[in-house]
Amino acid sequence: MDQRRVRIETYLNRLHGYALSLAGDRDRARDLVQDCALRAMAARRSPVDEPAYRAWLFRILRNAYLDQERRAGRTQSLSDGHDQAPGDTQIWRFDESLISALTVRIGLARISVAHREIITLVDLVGFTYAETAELIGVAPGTVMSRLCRARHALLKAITESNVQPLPIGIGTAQARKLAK
Amino acid sequence: MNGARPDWATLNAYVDGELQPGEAARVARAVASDHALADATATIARLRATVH
Repeated sequence: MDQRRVRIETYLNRLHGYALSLAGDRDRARDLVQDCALRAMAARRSPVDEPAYRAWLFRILRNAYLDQERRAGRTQSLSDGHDQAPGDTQIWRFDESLISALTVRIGLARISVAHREIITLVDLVGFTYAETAELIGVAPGTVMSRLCRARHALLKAITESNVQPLPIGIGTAQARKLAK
Repeated sequence: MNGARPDWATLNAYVDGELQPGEAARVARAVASDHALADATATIARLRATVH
């Protein structure tokens, strides 16, 4: 039992990040991780091999999310609706200096669940395209095209969010003046 | 694909370490000699690192 708990703990932060990308709010993400941990600890068997164990854990969380959605009567699927479209061929140009922890967080909140999910799985959890494809049940080529569309959407959201970093230590009145 | 300018999807896969060694080397050469490709690659890498 304790060994099982220790094993899950290694992944708690990343599970939480994934849950947040699906659920969109912290309370629900916490519930999902809890649900996932309980299901994982109650399982009679779990994969010995670490990559297989990790995939197994994230699948449990994904299923917990899909179960919740179904119970709530939401049938929204986790596909982005454009998966048959070819990947981007154009080279996109963005102002790199706009990318910060804050603008990324705001941008992620504005894109679709399917896009947020794939970015989180590859960039935060560290899954390969093949592992991601297996988890979400699509072909590896679909992961590649969905991911590059998702990153494009995120960069666009960041650019459009117009969050300008302000110098530290200035008052609100000054900040307001600067914003004019 | 061979010889053609790498597209956005290929640059993403390059940054993610998902290309075969031969193709990755080809993209690396293209990026080294093309400012727009270098900028796009840096943007993807920065985005990736910031999502962490």
